[in-house]
Amino acid sequence: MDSTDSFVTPAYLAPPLAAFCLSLVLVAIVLVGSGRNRAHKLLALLILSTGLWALFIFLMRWSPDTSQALFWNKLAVSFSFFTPAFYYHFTRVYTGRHQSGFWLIIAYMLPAISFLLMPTGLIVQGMSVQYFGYSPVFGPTMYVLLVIVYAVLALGFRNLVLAYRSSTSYEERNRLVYLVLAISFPMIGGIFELFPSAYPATIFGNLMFGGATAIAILKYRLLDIQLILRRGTAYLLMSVMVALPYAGIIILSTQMLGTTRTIWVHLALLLVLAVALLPLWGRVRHMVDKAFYRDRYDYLKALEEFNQKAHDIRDFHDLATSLVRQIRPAVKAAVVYILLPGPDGDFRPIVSSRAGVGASKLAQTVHLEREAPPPVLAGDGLLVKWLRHSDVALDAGNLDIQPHLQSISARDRSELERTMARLLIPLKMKNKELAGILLLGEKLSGQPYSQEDQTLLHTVASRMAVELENARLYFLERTMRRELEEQDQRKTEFLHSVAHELKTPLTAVISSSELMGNDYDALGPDQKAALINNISTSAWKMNKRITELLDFARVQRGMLFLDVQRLDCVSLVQDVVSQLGILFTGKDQTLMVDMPDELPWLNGDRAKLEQVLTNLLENANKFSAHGGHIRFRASQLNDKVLMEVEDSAPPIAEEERLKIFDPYYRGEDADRRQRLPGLGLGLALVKEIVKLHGGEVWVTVRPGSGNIFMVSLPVPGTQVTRDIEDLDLVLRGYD
Amino acid sequence: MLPEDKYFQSRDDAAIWQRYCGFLDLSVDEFMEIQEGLLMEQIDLVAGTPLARRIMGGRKPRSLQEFRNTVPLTTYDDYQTYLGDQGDDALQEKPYFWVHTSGRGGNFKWIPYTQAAFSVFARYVIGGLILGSASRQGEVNFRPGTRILFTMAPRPYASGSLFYYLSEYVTLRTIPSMKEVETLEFQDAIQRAFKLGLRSGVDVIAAISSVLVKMGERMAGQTEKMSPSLSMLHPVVLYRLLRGILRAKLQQRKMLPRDLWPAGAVMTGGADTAIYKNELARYWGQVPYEVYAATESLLIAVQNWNRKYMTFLPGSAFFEFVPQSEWLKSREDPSYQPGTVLLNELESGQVYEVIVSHFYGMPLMRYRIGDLVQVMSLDDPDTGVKLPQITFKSRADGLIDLAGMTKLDEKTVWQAIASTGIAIEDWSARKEYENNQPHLRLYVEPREKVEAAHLEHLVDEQLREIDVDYRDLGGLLGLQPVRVTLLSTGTFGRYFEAKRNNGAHLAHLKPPHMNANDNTINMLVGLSEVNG
Repeated sequence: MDSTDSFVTPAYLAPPLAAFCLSLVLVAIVLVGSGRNRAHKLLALLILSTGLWALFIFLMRWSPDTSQALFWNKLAVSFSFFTPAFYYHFTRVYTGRHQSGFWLIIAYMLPAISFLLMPTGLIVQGMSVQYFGYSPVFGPTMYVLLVIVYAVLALGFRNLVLAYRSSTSYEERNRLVYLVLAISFPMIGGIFELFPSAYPATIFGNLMFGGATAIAILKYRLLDIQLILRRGTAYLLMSVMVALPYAGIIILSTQMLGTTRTIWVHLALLLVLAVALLPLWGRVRHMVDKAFYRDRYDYLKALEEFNQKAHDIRDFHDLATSLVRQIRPAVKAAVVYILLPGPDGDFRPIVSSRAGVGASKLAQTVHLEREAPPPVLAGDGLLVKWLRHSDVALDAGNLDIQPHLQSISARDRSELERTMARLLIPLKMKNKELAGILLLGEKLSGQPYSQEDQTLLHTVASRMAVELENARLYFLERTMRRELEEQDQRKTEFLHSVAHELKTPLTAVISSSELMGNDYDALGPDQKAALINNISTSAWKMNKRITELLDFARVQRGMLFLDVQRLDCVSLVQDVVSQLGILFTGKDQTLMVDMPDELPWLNGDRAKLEQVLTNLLENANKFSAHGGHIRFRASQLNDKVLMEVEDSAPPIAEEERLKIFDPYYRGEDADRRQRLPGLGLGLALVKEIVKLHGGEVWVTVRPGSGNIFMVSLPVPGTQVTRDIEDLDLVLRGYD
Repeated sequence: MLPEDKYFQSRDDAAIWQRYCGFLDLSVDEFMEIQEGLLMEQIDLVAGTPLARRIMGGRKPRSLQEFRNTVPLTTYDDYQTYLGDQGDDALQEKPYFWVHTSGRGGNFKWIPYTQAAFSVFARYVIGGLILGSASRQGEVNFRPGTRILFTMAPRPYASGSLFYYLSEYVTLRTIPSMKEVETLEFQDAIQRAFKLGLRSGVDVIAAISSVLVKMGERMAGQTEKMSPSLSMLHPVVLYRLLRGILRAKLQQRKMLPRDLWPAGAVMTGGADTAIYKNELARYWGQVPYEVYAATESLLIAVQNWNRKYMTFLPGSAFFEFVPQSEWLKSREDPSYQPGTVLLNELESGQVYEVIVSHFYGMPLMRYRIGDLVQVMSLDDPDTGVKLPQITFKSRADGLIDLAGMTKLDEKTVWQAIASTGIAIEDWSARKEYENNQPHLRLYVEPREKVEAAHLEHLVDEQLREIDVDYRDLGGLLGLQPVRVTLLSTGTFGRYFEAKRNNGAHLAHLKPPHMNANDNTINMLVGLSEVNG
């Protein structure tokens, strides 16, 4: 073909020129929008390289003869090798994925090799003229280079796919879809170039590539690819729905009725379709929207339903049930729990919703479990502490990433792994306190929770937290009322006990004194002595109770002071033990004292500490059976003296151990039928006295061998005792 | 796929940085929260074991405060019976591996490591490798498959164990392989490492500073006398040699190790690192990246990416610190229980003894590791790290007290000797008395001819420059306490050989730099006289 007039037409010249102009515009947009962003600069270079390629292709197509076309084509081919290099480099920077620099070097060597070899004809040997225009004749090296080009493009493609899979952001994923699609266009288009007689499609591929990539980076928010696809699908469906009846009616009318296709038939049909089109268009669009935005549709529905129910439901448990019931299908989670703190501070599930086993009816087969199943998260663990501080959801996949969470306890970690927890959302009250945790298992699709999922969950969680706060306030109010009632009851019981504790010895005093007053002469000396002893014992009992009451009143007013002096610990113990010896022999009990010959001297109030030991030993005596063993141990442990009273009484229940040092608290007898005698002040006083000495008192249970009451007191010279001494000086100064 | 490789495969650089180096972003409160959480978990884990029951006096502490109040500070003597023969009866679980280090009198200290503990240390070592090869925040140059030139002690020493078991967590190419290191004598292993490194290339050098300095000195002096060998004909080796020679020629200097083994990071530790920092950088082309490691807790602190100071690792162990004043009291009266402070109570400029309590079911509690660190500042504004910044000061038993006025540590003495400009093969120092006057006696093997009196004068001069208290000692009391005993050429080498022939273990082949005992000093002097 000698003349180029047959193919040098506007249709032949326009695409590369348009691609070049578009590239220039896009480069300008990218550069203006990029700031100092390295990825965007690489993108600009990438688009520029495709633009230059398009310019040289335009010049090639405009050439009057093959020799000039060959010159421009060689330039175009040489510049085209920049495209895979910039693309691969861009995906590395954009996705933050580091790979060996080997492929980057290879990618950038491509244009260098191309420029070096181009004059030799190893890459492009010449030009031929085809039906569409000029077509290059490639040399053998071109095919080798193309294999490398495709390998480099595939690596970039892989970077984007991996980034897509690890991204949880809807926007980010959408943007990556653009970029993945974009690289597909030139990759497909390039294949046509290998066949000289095939129409050169790369120019169109590059046009689409440049446009799609730039839109993905800069304009994604304005032009959602889902929107294009959604609208496109809707129009396609509509076209099919219009075209099919139209064509059908025309065919029918022509073949069956023999009617000729006059303009009237067409007009009538168009009129009918136009009338039907509007509602049809609305329905189709709604259908397509729902299909495309299934997730958001479900979210909005779930939110709407929850908002309605949150107003209607007063019972907290029902509200929680309703919440998990709506949340689980909306985010397509395998399981959803709401965890609330229990009395021990650990967070336990109060309600859960699970997807059923049947694959076809997942959304419907929801069952609720009222019993609290695992997982249980430690209230004082690092995981819950993190959730207390955090306002954002915790993706369990980040447990190994965030430094604070890498150290969560093995127990919490195994709880999360066992239940396949994927997302934890703190339920925060207005005062920022952690009211509960919304815990979600993995998504049924196995995908990570998207940003949209998390946004929905946050919205619901904050709404839920408000309801939780209301429930908490209600619970607080109820608890306070119960406590007040209990206090009232305890006071009544206390008054009754005081009356009883004073009246019993008083009765003995009155009856003994009356007996002596009425029949004094008739009584023998032994009887008189017994009655006097009775009066004296009873008076001392009353005195003891009254002293207890007075001491406790001082404690409550903060007026119980210590008369601090240096104390020999060993003699203190020996004195108390010798005074109480008679108590133990009275019940055939054995008191074993295990104490070294020497113990450090203490700074303390001798009388008060005697009161402590007496009280503990009397209790041991009182609650141990006849013939039981009581062991007293004293030892030094670092900077403390430790005293232990081990009885052989029935073990004190755990819940009772928590209250036993509370004022007015009296345990129940073994049958739990009635309260034990006393005012319930002895151990409360012990605790206060030990506390004033800078020490601690607690009780533990030794299985099979009763209870151990332990008192630790600081040895002088430690900070605590210095504080006591200072306090004592201050108090004396006030005296 | 190895456990840590998967993070490099599936996560981007930001996530990788956060996983391995994110501890640098913690606040002091967050650091303490992690420490306390792990400690309480540890107490729960080990409370029932015979060893912990003994250490805790049979009572399980319910709070951090109670733990510090009731558990006494411990030394290895408290564990010797249980750990000395590597028995695991008294432990919470069967150890993943045991490591040992030199103890007093040549006895080894054996420490067991649980798998849970090592998985945390593995993470921190990778963090160290990332930081050591980074020049800015967030830069991740370390990747699985990194080539590490290894010239440290093999298993069961801590360094060898660390890299041996690390290769079960992340793909590493140690040069030579860790198995090969164990079959070779230490000297041979070093030579083999450099020989192989010439062929394979090197990304990271993990080495003892002194080895690198010696290697650098030797190379700098010998390159022109390099004798050709068959192994040099390997194309890769030949290429590296030619490239090295060309680089050196272009810069008009002698060839240096960095020309042959250009590494992305030089990871090292010990008191001498700071002293030889510049030399190491000159020889190896990288400012050395320093870590604070110990047999008892594989990695305790690491430098930030700016290679200035070190930051403690929150999951490494529970840290307490004995202030210097308390430490001195306890040194004078071994029965005295010194008070401790926590990381959030540290003060800038102060020196502290480090106390560690293990996590993850390991045995040590309130253990006096025997190291002194100095807190340089409470944060690092350059890197934005908000945690106390420390440097390694010395071993606690490595101080020489002169007239109660100054306490010289190994680093100070070393720096003074190095700054004299006299080439020294090696040295050992201790306190001796002359007419009831204490003085610092240096046993020195010089590489060049020097008079003892001249060296005494030079070291004294340098000590006055470096140590303010030492200057006062001279200024106020008119004392010049440095005495030098020159040892003949090859004395330290003969000591090394003699020890090796006697079957001494690697840790005991060299005499200690500070406070060597009479036997060691007598042997050095004896070996010097043999030659002299």
